[in-house]
Amino acid sequence: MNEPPQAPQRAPSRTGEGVVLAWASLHLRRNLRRRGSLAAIGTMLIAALLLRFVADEPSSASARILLAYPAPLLALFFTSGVLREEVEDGTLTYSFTRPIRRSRLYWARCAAHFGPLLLAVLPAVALVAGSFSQLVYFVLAGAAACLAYGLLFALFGVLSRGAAWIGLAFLIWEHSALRVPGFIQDLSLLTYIHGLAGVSVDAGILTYGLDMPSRPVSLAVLLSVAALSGLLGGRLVEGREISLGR
Amino acid sequence: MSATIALRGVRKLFGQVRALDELDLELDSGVIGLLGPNGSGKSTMIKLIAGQLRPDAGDVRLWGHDPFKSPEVFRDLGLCPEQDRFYEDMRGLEFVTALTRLQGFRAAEARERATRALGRVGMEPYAGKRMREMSRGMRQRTKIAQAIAHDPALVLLDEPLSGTDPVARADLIQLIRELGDEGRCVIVSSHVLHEVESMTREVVVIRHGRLRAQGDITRLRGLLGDRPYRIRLGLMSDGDNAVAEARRLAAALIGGALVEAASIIDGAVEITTTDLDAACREIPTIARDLDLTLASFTSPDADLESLYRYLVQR
Repeated sequence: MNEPPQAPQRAPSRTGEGVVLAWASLHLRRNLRRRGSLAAIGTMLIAALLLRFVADEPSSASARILLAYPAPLLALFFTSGVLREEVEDGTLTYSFTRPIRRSRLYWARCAAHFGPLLLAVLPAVALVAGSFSQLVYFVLAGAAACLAYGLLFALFGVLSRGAAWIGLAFLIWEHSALRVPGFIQDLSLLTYIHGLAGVSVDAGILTYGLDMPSRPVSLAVLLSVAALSGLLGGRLVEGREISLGR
Repeated sequence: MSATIALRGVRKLFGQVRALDELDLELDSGVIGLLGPNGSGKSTMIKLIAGQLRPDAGDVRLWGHDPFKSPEVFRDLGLCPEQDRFYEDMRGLEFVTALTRLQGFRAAEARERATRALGRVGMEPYAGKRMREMSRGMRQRTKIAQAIAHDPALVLLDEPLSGTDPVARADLIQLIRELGDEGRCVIVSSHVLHEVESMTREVVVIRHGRLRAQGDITRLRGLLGDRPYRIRLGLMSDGDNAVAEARRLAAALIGGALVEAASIIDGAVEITTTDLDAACREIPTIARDLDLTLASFTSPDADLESLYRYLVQR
């Protein structure tokens, strides 16, 4: 039996985590320089300041508003186009013809997009905290929300060109589910985000009788959604052809 | 030893369109021109080799590995894609360095290699320019730099000369020849035939997704079968006698069975023959018998243009 032909012998080069992190860091810097990122960070800070000092809302109400509305929307804005952006720019071909698994490049791109998202959400939720323990839980909930929504919307982006619309529909579902009595409420990520932050779910009259999930359960659910979305996204990217228009 | 690139029974469909159909091809080293009219399947073939697309049938192998599933083959592959697309906010050096880092090199080495590659394509003075500020030719050269910075054994260049000015074009043709001379396999897709001819004698011609011809241009010219060749014979003679000597040679040649037609064009004799080998053997003898010295012996029909025209039209 013939031996398969070998590529020429080369000096070994590294294609480990360092290279992927360098790629993520490069794109993170690019993302942070964008006007959209700066606008999002600024707007969230202003919103937090208004909630805290002008509207004079209680801390938990302010955190609930920030975590339920702008945070998921920003996650949709920043992460649904993680790969689509490169496909549309026609630049994906440069990174996908390198000796690195595509899934790792995809996760690097996700990480780069989380930078401005976290910078927009975390200082804002920290700003409305009324105590140190609230600050810790709000920031933890904000980070987990960004991770779960971000990787889920990035997965939508891998699955469909219409990821933004699918994401919007998903967010409508999220808020609607909170208003349906029974186990349906448990199917909304918002339930767990609020559970982790320790703020009551805003479900109108149906808030009555709703059991808040515990913090460990909330954290576990959010991290599981993030991990599953990330793994599935990476797996899909591995098998995806790169079709760039001319 | 098997080929660097092997395509076996490769078919690629885009909806109802067969971009490649039952393509069998093996390519090894040197510069190889990939020719075909627009829509013939050249870019699809390059994308399959570069692991960007997966064949619907058949298989593609790089050094025995499936490029779609084996990213490690990209350690030895450099791709210059056809699209004029970049990270526009990056500077030339930053762009090439970032992509060279993805090959697995440390930051300092990647930067050094990127600088060297940019120098090789004549872009070193402009390495600090942002991509969006560069001319089309500069962008094209930067794109080639990122394909060669990691010193790959296989370089895929999809329309590498488009948008370049004549000076840059000549430099890049020289560079491509050098890459081939260094023992690399360089696949150059182009529809500008004389450019390919100036880079290599080895061509692959595809049309409608099928392989039409592969090999040396002169050898492929034999595919023209009994179609007549034109041969132009230049004579060493002074200006006064030039036409008379050309007439003498033409008369001698037309009298034999070898030559079907002869004419005098700009002091040279142009003959038509169907037997190129015999013409090569016998004409110098005939000229010597007439006490004439041949200064040149060229065949306008042995060039790539005529071969290409024939192959894609048949």
